[in-house]
Amino acid sequence: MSFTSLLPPPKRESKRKQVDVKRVEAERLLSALNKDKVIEESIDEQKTKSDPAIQIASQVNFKEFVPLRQQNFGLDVPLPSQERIDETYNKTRSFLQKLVSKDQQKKLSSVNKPDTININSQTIQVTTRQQDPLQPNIHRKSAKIYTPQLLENNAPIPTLHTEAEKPSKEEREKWKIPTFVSQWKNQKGYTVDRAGFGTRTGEPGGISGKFIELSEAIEKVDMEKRREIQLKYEEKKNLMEKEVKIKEDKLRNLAERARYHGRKQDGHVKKETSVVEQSSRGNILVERLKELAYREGRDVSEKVILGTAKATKQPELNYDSRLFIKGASTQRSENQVYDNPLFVQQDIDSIYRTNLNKLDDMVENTNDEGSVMDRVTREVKGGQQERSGPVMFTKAEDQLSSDKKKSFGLEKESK
Amino acid sequence: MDSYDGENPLLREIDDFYSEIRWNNQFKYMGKLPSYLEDQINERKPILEQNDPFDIQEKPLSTALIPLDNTTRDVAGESLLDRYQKLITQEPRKHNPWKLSKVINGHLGWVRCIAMDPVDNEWFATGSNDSTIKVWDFASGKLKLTLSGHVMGVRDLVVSKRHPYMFSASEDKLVKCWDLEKNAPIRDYFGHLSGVHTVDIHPTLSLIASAGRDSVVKLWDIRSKKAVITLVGHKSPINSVKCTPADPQIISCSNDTTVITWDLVAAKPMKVITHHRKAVRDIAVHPGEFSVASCSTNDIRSWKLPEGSLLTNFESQNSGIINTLCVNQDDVLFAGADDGTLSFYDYRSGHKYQSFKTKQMPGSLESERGILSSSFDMTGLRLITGETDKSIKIWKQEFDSEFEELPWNPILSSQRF
Repeated sequence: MSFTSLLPPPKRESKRKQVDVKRVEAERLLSALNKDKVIEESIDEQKTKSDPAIQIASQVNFKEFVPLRQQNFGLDVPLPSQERIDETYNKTRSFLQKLVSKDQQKKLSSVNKPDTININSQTIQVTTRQQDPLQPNIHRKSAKIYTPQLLENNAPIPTLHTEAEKPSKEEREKWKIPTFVSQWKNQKGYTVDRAGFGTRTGEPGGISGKFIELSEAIEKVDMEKRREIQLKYEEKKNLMEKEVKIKEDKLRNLAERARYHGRKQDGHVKKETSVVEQSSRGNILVERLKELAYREGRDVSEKVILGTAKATKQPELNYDSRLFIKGASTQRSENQVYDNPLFVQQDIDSIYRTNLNKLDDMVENTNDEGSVMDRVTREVKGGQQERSGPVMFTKAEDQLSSDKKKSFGLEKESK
Repeated sequence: MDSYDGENPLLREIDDFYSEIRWNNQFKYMGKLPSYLEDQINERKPILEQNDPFDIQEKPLSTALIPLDNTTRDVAGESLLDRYQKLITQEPRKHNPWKLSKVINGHLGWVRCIAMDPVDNEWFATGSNDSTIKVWDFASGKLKLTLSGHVMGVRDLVVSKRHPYMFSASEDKLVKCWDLEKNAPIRDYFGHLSGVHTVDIHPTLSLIASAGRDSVVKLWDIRSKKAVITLVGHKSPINSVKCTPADPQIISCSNDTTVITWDLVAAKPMKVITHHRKAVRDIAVHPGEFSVASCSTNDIRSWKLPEGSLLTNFESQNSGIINTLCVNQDDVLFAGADDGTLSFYDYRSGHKYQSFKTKQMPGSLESERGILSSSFDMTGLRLITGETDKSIKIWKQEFDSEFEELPWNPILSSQRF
């Protein structure tokens, strides 16, 4: 059984007619078999005689289905003789002339005697308009006719096709479009590749040049700032050094003065001592101090004693300021712009969300102040006392109106 | 097997076998009465005579029909034996093989029709789906002219022997008359309700016949541009119309699977030939005898002309869709198939002696391998084909003694009806 046999019959009439014909034939045969209805039979006989299909069928012979040339390939089928051609020519020509003359007669008669029609005592003459037989074509060309290049030298070349090669597996893979991933439910964790990075190939897609410009600019500013800081630090160091020097000088002066005064008290002569004497006297002092130190178990150099010794030079230590910055513990790289994420301290997930636990607590401890609902609504709207998230800005007018409303509401409540 | 006498047991056996098969094919259905008639007959009989259903199944031939069958069987058997004997004693005529000689490119669409210069055999015209008609030099294959005037594809062309005119039929519902001295269209035959598929010139009268998708044949007076006669009878688009000098003066074939020979004076079909099972795509008139060949899918036949009786069944069982036919005076029938197969038949015996695929043009698709139109030149030694790949190919008859024809198997072709 084919599928089409299950379909309803077509709506066209012709099929039904055929079926009707079959049914009629069947009825005819049945009635023919019925001897009781003699009259009908006779009528049917007449019908069968007049039915052209049955007449033709009765004339059809088995031999007509046999090819004539099978018996004799040399069977001649001569072209029609000239006489026959002439005969048919004359016959058809006269017939056609008759046809044409009939038309002409009609025309002539209509020209000579115009038809008249009487409508409500009005007579109307119907005449055919005279037409010029050489009149150009009435039927105008409605469409533009394509005219090819008529120069034979640069005749148009027919378009040729190239056999399309079958794409390889890789190429097919490239053209494959990943199925759409819903933004709302992403259970399998697909990512949408927005920046144009091919997820498969890992090649960077088209990134706009502005990103590079931005990072370059930031780096430049960063370097400048660092140089400034360096300069400031050096300046400070210089100042400090100067200060230290001044202090040292002062101290040394003081010490020298004290030493001078002490000498003065020893005797007047000391004033006019020669350089040699002075040195010998210094040597004595040194020796004395040495003795003192030795007694105490220390070894002191002359320079220290004289106060000319300098502090031992320690290597300069430049601490990177970043060491002391808070986020220094996180790994740093050259390209990193910020050392901290923006919302480190806050719980990002709950910025825009009402803290239900807090609400619960509040509901539990409602006894302190106001109605429960008031507090809840305040919390939900982001009450002013406890805000956990960035400030939401509103338009001035809105705020005014909301203030009014609020005041109205408060009034009602207070009443 | 020079002579046949009834005593030869082998032949007798073959005869019996063959006639039985034919008998079964042709008349087996008559052996069984329709159920409603059977019921009626059974009702008439007395109860004792009524057969039980098993009995009926065992001998299905009703007694009333048997003698009649026997007579027809004898007649058929005799003719069949006769035919068979004649067939195996005959040999088809030998023909020379055909080879490709030239390929011409230039059209921008399918080449749908070809018309040879009937007077000098010097040029031919082709009409294409790109709505142009191109005139080519036959010997050199060079373009001589491009005629444009049709708005849609040109479907048929015919060049007159008696006038300096060429007629073209197009899908834009027009038949145009081209003056070959001025190379310009001079007349439009306006009146078809839909695309015109075919046109032909009456060989003696100043008439042209055209037909197309509106399934009527119109006969136009060449000079006055008037549709003189309209022949109504086909039920589907008409694919080809041919005119002959004697009755039947017009033959047409249509998608409704029929070939009709027309009585021009009565404006009625003379004979409706209904042998084909599929749409009849083309007909070709033999230039040397009064017969016509018609083709449909897997089926080519030729008809004897005044009466329209079957002449030959061609060996065309597996030829596929055939688009075009043409016959030369040398009794070679060419059939161009939609899949690009060229088949050459002996016109008298129906023997297919050569068959091959057309040459694929570089740059054309596989689906573009189809032959749409064909024409022999006036000598019958060259064949021009117009193809789906927009090329025109010229084929040449080669005198090659080593060519081996396809095998001749008369039994197969004779079994087709």
